[in-house]
Amino acid sequence: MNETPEAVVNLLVGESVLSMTPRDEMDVASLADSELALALKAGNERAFEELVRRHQGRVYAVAYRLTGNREDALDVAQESFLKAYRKIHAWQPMGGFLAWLLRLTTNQAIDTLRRRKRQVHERLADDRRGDEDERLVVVATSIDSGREVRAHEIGERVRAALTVLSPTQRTVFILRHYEGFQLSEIAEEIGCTVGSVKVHLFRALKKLQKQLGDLYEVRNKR
Amino acid sequence: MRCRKVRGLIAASVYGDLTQEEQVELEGHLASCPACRAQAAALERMTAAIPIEAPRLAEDLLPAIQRRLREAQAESAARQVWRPWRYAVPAGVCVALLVFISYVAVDRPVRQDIETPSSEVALADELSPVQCALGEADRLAQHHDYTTAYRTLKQAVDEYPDDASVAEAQLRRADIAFSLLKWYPEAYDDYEALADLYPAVFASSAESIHRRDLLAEAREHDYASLHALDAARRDGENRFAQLEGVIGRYPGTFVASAAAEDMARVVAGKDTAKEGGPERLAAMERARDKCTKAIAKRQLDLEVGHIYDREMNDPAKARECYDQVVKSDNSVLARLARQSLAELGSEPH
Repeated sequence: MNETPEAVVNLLVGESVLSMTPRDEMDVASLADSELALALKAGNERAFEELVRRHQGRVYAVAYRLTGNREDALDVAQESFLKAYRKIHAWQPMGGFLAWLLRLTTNQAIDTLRRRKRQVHERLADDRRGDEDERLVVVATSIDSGREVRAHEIGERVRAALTVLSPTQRTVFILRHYEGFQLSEIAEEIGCTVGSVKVHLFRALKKLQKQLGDLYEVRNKR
Repeated sequence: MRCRKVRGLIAASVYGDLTQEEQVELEGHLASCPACRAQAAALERMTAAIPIEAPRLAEDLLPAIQRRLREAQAESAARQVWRPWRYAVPAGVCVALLVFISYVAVDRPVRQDIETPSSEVALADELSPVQCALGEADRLAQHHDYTTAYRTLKQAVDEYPDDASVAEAQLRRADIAFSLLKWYPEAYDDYEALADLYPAVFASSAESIHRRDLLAEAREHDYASLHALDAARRDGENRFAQLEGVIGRYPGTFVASAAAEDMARVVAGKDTAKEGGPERLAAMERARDKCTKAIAKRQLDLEVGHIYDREMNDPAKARECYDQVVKSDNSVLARLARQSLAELGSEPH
């Protein structure tokens, strides 16, 4: 891509969405994330559509890992893209768009988890016994093998542990562990040095170790 | 090389992200440090135990997102139409204030302008979206609908980050989450966002700084310490004993200090923290003498020492209190007392 981001914005803003030809669409698909984000910032809807197409799988995966079920993950993923659309003016070109989007996603998922936790507490307060019975039935009907039970347990524990991390630690961990980003890429995405990323990652791992210690030590002994 | 310096390298090594030079550096340290070697091995075992397979998305999200976007835009347009009426109450308050000021300080022609009914609508239009949300949140809070008040402010802050009143809305939102809703995780995030995005407003609010510190500490225990403090405060009859219990569970923490302050209030029958100085000192000393648990007594000794040191300018008395705490069986309290003595330039006796 030879054009500067500003030139790309001019190119995209100069076109009405309705008058875009197939060639224009192809051009949008070939743009880098930061160029698309700049175009969206300038009001280009096609840029937003391309960003959704490009990153919906990753956003959904992060949402699913944190919420643990399809319905909530779909809702979180949609809401995260809506937030990105509304808050794009706050995005700074110095940082990467994907890390910013995934940070919105993790925050949205954490909000969903907290809401869910509060609703459970409120229901428990209303009818403790009834709700316990209901929960047991849900677990009993949705998990039907020892292996699935174990996977479910691990998933729940990891989800809970991730909520303990600070927003930056969570982003760094998710990008490195699940998304396979290099540390230098993460540094670029979140706008800090590689050394800082290593420190964030170490702190994240230590906190997770504190939360999950018994889980993997037991697993290791088996 | 010190252990602290290789932490980042250990984290990077777990994912194989070290340069050759870093690898040599880390191996050199690990060969001579069993603690770091164990740490690195434990982190490797843990990361291996966290599954990384990605759940697959089976559908295209774009149509649903576009539909929700259209719905939100339609809703927002409808809100714009109704805004003057929705925010009539805060606008009315502003108008009343302006009318009053104009009678007191401004010439009659200006007063006549303000008195015309059409200017009320004009003023409502002049309120920024976040100012309107602040007015709406106040109205909701007066009716004890704190949840909607919080959400109203959250939406305004999210949607209008460049509004001149957004820092005030962020602060109000954090305060509602902390003191009215007791939504501590949200309150922590809100105060953190305030500190990050509006540092001048954050720095000028001592209460916000204190609450952020309190929340940051309580967060380590999933806010259990703050919930315990709330439960103790709600216990009308056994409040003093319950607060002692909180100190017993969380000695040396900000929550324990808050519990000690509450115990002084219970003894004095009024808010001594606001009075400060001798009254606060007397109440805290009486509360300490009334304690039945040794650990609570030592926590209050520490608080009394702080008052002597910071408010009464009496380092000798402060030192006496800290010396008592240094003897405590509780290592956290003893360490805090040693630190306070060091700040006074003294060694424990």
